[in-house]
Amino acid sequence: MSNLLIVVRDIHFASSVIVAGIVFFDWLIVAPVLGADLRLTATFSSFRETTQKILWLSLGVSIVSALAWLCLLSTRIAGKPFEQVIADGTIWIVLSRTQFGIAWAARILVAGLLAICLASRQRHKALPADWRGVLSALLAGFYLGLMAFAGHGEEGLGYERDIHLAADFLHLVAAGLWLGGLLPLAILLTYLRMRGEEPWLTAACNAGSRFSTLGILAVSILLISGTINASFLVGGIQSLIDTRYGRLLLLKLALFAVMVSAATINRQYLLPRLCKGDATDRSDPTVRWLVRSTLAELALGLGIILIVGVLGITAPAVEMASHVH
Amino acid sequence: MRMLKFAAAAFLAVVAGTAAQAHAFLDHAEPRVGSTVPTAPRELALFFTQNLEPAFSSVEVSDASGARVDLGKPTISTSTMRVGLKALPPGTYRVRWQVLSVDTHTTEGSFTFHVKQ
Repeated sequence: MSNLLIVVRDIHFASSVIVAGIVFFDWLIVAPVLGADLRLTATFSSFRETTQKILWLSLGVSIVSALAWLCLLSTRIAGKPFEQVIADGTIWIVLSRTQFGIAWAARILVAGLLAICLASRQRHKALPADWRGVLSALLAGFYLGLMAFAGHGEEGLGYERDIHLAADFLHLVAAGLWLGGLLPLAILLTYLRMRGEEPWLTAACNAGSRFSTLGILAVSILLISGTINASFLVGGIQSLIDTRYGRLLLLKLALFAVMVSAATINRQYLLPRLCKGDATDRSDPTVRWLVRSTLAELALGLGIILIVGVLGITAPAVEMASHVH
Repeated sequence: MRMLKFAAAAFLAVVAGTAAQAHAFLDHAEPRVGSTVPTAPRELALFFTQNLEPAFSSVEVSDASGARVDLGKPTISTSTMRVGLKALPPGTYRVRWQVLSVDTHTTEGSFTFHVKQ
């Protein structure tokens, strides 16, 4: 049961991060870089077609995995088989009378509103800068951030709990901003190079630079909020080594450090090369390197998501016995 | 890289000075765990380290023969659970609690207290 719950959590985290990432990317990168430039129509069209397919698929997977998470958690809480949890109404009690359930109901409602908003954008062939784009980004942010109410973000009492929840909310949104944006960035750079519409190089430079700046903001939020979260969940440096939770957290931090290093290489070496005009034609490997590096970051990010799925059901670094007075 | 080094130092500095709070554990109880009280209490109060889900949290108090001496459904407010007690004669009483914290983890435990002869 625990292993299945971990798999479902991982799928849900990954799909939700991708949903938010694509929507954020559309609003913050595509709108200013491609939205107003009519010369890049074919690139924009290809990018939009591919990312919309991924977006809808991810949203569907995210909603289904959210429901699976609710079912699995209900069986775990009640200690009853799945059929009985449905038959005796336990699942409705979890949904309507626990904070997890109420947060989940709110998230499913937000997902529904997001789907309506996205469908409306598609029907009207709206530009990314359209108000629906802004509303979609807000809804996607809430959809991702409200997951904070479903796990260790609830640790603590009083104002400490509020701080922890706020930090967890921001941590999730920042993950969507950076990690979720890597996939659409790789797709956009690939299409820019593939279509070769002028000024593809300027657009690639602008998109890369904007995403890099956004990445710095996201990494800063992740570092601050992650440190706040750790202050609630780790009982000292020794616990980082002595407990399963601590060791998983260290592994997550190591992957995060490698991701930041890869992003730093992109920012320090590849982007300047692209923006100085050193990569003058499509045969130049700079954009390909940038795409590969972005995909490598994405793979590391998925590794982090796998760890997050386990961390959520692992007792934080403290022994139960120490709390019995 | 400088940012990463600074962040690592800040992380370790913050983590080193903290006490973790994991799930809902019993912080203290009234009557106290293992204590001997001079007069029979009318109520048992349990104070936890985290907010509780009332729908999935319960407590039972029984005497030495295993008979229930609590008045049934407890009242739960944030992280505190209270249950009324019948008139308790002198003796030893066992408290068994099981709670679901708002982070969806179940914890359970038990302890005894004594009413003075």
